[in-house]
This record gives sequence, structure tokens and C-alpha cells, in this order.
Amino acid sequence: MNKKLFYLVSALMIVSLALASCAPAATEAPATQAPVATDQVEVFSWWTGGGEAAGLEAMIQVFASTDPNIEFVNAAVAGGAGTNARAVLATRLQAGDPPDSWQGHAGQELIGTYVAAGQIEPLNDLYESEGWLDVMPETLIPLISQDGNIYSVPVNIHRANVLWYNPGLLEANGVEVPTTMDEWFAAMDTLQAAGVQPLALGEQWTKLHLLETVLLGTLGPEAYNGLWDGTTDWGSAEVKTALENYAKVLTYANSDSASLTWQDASQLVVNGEAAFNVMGDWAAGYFIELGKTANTDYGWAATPGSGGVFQFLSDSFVLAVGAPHRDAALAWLKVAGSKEGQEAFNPVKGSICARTDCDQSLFGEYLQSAMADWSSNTVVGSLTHGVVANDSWKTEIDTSLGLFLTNSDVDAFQTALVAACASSGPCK
Amino acid sequence: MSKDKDRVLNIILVSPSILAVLIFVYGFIAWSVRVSLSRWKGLTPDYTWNRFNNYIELFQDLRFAVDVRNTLIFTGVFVIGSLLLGFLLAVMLDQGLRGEGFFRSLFLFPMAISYIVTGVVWRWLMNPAMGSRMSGFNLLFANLGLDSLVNAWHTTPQWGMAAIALAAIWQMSGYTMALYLAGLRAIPQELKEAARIDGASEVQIYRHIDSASFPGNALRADHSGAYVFEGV
Repeated sequence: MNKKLFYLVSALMIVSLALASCAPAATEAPATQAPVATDQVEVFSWWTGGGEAAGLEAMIQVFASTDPNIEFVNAAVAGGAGTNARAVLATRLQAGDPPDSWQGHAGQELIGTYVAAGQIEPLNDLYESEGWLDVMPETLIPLISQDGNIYSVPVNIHRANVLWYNPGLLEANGVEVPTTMDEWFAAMDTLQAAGVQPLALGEQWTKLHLLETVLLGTLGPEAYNGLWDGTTDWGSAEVKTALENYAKVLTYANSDSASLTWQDASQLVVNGEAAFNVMGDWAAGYFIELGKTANTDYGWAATPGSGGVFQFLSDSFVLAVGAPHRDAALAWLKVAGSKEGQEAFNPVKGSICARTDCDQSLFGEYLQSAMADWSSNTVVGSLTHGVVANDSWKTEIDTSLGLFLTNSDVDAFQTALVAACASSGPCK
Repeated sequence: MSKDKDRVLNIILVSPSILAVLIFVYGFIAWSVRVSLSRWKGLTPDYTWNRFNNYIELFQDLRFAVDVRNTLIFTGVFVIGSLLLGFLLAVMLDQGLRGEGFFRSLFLFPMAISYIVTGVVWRWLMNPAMGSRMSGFNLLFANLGLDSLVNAWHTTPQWGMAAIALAAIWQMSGYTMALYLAGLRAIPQELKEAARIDGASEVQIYRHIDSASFPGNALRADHSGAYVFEGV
């Protein structure tokens, strides 16, 4: 009798547990349950540190004031230049569970990856209704479009070819700010002889960043653009000179670069432990956060050889196909492209507005000079930050860079770059 | 009669686990193998058969060769180091000293720390910065006058993985020590005493009597290596 009772009870428990697990997944809280937030928008980015997180926070505040009944779900994942975040995003998109909107670099990174896979929606209607075509730069729009469809809302413009330096160290050693490669080598020789660390570098992606500025500085803007549309031969003598310059620049870098993040490396300059650092102008936002003063603790110039050229990258937000909360996502995108949103975001983030009508007085010293440059310089795109090359091409370049960093073989590096262009780029 | 009933009940109770493992482990392994033989490159699935081209490309890739080398270095240094250190610690503890319980806990303690914490702390200790920014082990060696020991640790070209294996050895050698100790303790004392009466030295006792327990322990230690590996 007891045994039968035992079996009966067990069977009942098993059945009830099975039923519970077979219940459909809980649907979203209907409006009546959450009196304050009637909707939510999940926004995915890699802005988790430095000026980046602070800028995002400022824009969230603007969003909270314009759309107080939409809850902002901040799904940020850490990792410089989005290396980790993009992997997480790819997994979610594969699983058919997209966030409502995510941050993406304007350019081939978006177009080559997400547009090709049909995962983001065109936003032409939004651009028309918000009048953005009148306030955003002409040279920017083609890079974020494909076949006439605009696919993202750019929030900011960053400059990649910036040389940060410590004015005190340069002055103490009688070194002028270099404008050409040769001047730079001479300056770094002087500094090294005086026992000063000439150049601060971080982990591999910062070295890829350095590579693109050296390519630009050696080749000039036309030939540099030609690398990405197939008109410049990667196997040419000029590219070889650029790679030899690059190999030489690396010899001036700190020996422990592989274990430093970009913030660690840039911090060496403002702390007076290194003279030069090549990093995008998001370093400006970081220096502000560290409480450093422009032109006293740090100075800036275009990277040697690239004076008059603005090597840009742009962070933008997209609208996912099949976004769970499409209207909330559109509300977020409106804020992202609005004057208030961009004016809140950019000064703190250390970038300039993608819009050209932002209030100049809100921006610090460096950024005001950047805004002036943005309107006057020749504009080219960044490689590391997804403007000129799609993901697989950039990965192949990065892999060949990784091998080069271990064996310093310029010829092998050049051969690998030629192969990368042939397999993932427009070269034949 | 009841033996059959038991059998049926056993199978029923075990079948949910078996089913789950079949689907989530072996099913997914099979699917991964299928994808590895296909032409899927970007975000959109593409299942056209690609024979073994992906594997051929992989083994021709220079970077993969580097990865394999790093794996072998890590495995070799970690397994051998962990076994050796564990064995040494077990032999020392086996001597029947006074603080044995305390030291046993001390050596086992690193296993309780999360891999991430171990990684962060060892990263600080093995900081490769030189000159004025030296810290961690390099600073200690420099201050003690042992300049020859100052090195680039995990950023050393070619052999850097061995430094990471050091941190793994620190964490897991307590486990191998515990295994060896259990093996050593399982051997009846009468055998050892008889050997001592017959005039065998301590070393001979370890070589001939205690070594019976080693192969099993080595296998278990290897297994723990696999777990650390997943973390890496």
C-alpha cells in the first residue's frame, strides 16, 4: 500500500513539474502592471567605461526627459573597439533575439555585416521627418548608405589620426611637435637618448590603429583611399615604405604594450611617463575624466604626415529588423539624432556632433579645434573602426598584423596584406 | 521477476539525463561537425557542402600553428608541473608532521578561488613593465638583486604561455596533492613497516610500494587540467 502511494505521489509530482516547464514563456508586463514604464527599449553598445559610458548616460537623461514612460535597458558589454560586444551581438542575432537598437560603426562594418544579412532596417523616412539630411555632413551620408538606403543614425564623429603628446616632456628635451615621419623619428630618437619612453602603445588593436595612421601619413589621402577601393596596389613600393616606417615606429614603443589597455597607454602620456601616444580623440574625454588640463598636461596634433586630413569614424545606432519594441526604438533614434541628444552626448564622450549645428561653446578646447578641422579638412575613413573595410577583411589584416608583431618580417606582412585584399576586398 | 522490474525502473529514471545528454552534447557536437564541413562564413547560415576545405585552410593558417603551439606548451607545463608539485607536497605531508591538517588546507585553498580572481592577481604579479614602471615579481627580483630572473612573463614571445601555466599550477596543485596523499595513505602501513625491517631505504619504499597508486592519480590530475583549460 505504501509503495503504491509513493509511486502515485511521484508520478503526480513529475507530471506537474513537466506541465510547469511546458508553460509558454512569460510575455512582457502589460501596461497595467508597471504604472511608470509602459514600454522599454533595449540598446546594445560597448560603452562601459571612460568618457564613453558618461556620454551615453547623458544621452539617456535626455531620453528620460523626452520619453519618460519608456524604460531604457542598457545592455552594454565591455571591450575596446567592441571586440567582445560584437561577438555577443552576433550570437543574439543568430538566435533571432535582437536588441531593439545597437551601436555600430558607420561604414562597411554595418553595411558589410548587417545589411548583407538583412538584420537592420532602412531609416530614410526617419531622416526625412527629422530633417537630418540638412544638418548632417554630405560626405558622411554615402558611407552609411547602401543603394540609397540610409541604415543608421550617426551620433558623433571621432578622429583617428591624432598624436597626443606631453608638452612638458617635449619642452624639457627641446623637441618640437613633429609634422612628418622623419621629424617624428628624430624627435623620438632624442627622447629615447634622454631616457624618456618615446611612444606609449597598448594591446593589438591600438597597434592596428597606429598602422592606419602610418599608412595615411606615408601614402597621403588619395593613395590611402585607393587601398580600400582597389586602385592602390598593396604590393607596391609605397606601401612597403609605409610598412617599414611602421616597423620603425614600433621600436620606440614600451616593451609591455601587450598587457596595456588603450586607457593605460594614453594615461602614460598625461602622467609624464611617455611622450607620444597615437589614439583616437576619445582619449580627450578620458583625459577630462582624469582631471587633466588641455595644453598643460596634454597636447595634440595630426599624426605625422597627415596634416589637413581628418581620418574619421562615427558611432551610430541602428534599428533592428524584428525589434521587439519598434516604436520605442524609433523614439530612441530620434533622441540620438537630435540636437539636444547630441549636445548632451558629445562633449562628455570626447567627440564632435555628427550634426553641424551643435553649440560650439559646449565643447572643450580640443573638440572645438576638431569641429573646425571637420569642416575644412579632407575626410578619409578609419580601418580599425569599421569605415573602410568590412569585418572579414579587417580580421585578415589584423591576423597578419598579429603575425608581423611576433616576427617583424615586413615582406611577409606585405604579402599577407595583398592576399587579404584579394580574398576579402576588391583586389583581384 | 523483481530484478526485471528494478531494471525497468532504473532505465526510466536515468532516461531523462541520457536524453538530455544525447541532444545537448552529442547532438550539438554532430551539428558542429556538420557546420564545419559547410560553406557558412558570415552571419547568414549556408549549409552547402564544402568537404574538408575548412580544415585544410585551418592547418595552412600560420596563426593556427601558433595557437597549437601555445596549447601544447600550456598543457605540457601545466600537467607536468602540477603533478610534480602535487606529488612533492603529498610526500612532504605524508611524513606525519605536526601542522599537517593546517598545511593540507593551505595547499588546497587556491582551488576555492575563482579562475578570474587568480587571473587578475597573477596578472598584477607577472606585470611585464620594465624600468621605472616595474611592479610585481619583476620589482621583487630587482630589489633582491636577482636581475637575471626579471623577464617579460606572459608577454614573452614564443614561450609566454608557460607563465600562464604557472598560475594554473598554483591553483590546481592542491588538488593533485590531495589525490596523491589519498593514494599514499591508502597503502597499508604493515607493508611499509615490513619493508623497513627488511632494510629498504625510504626512497626505495616510495619507488616500489607507493608508486602503485600513481597512474590513477596522474589520470585524475590530467582531467583537472582539462577543466582549467576550458577556462583558458
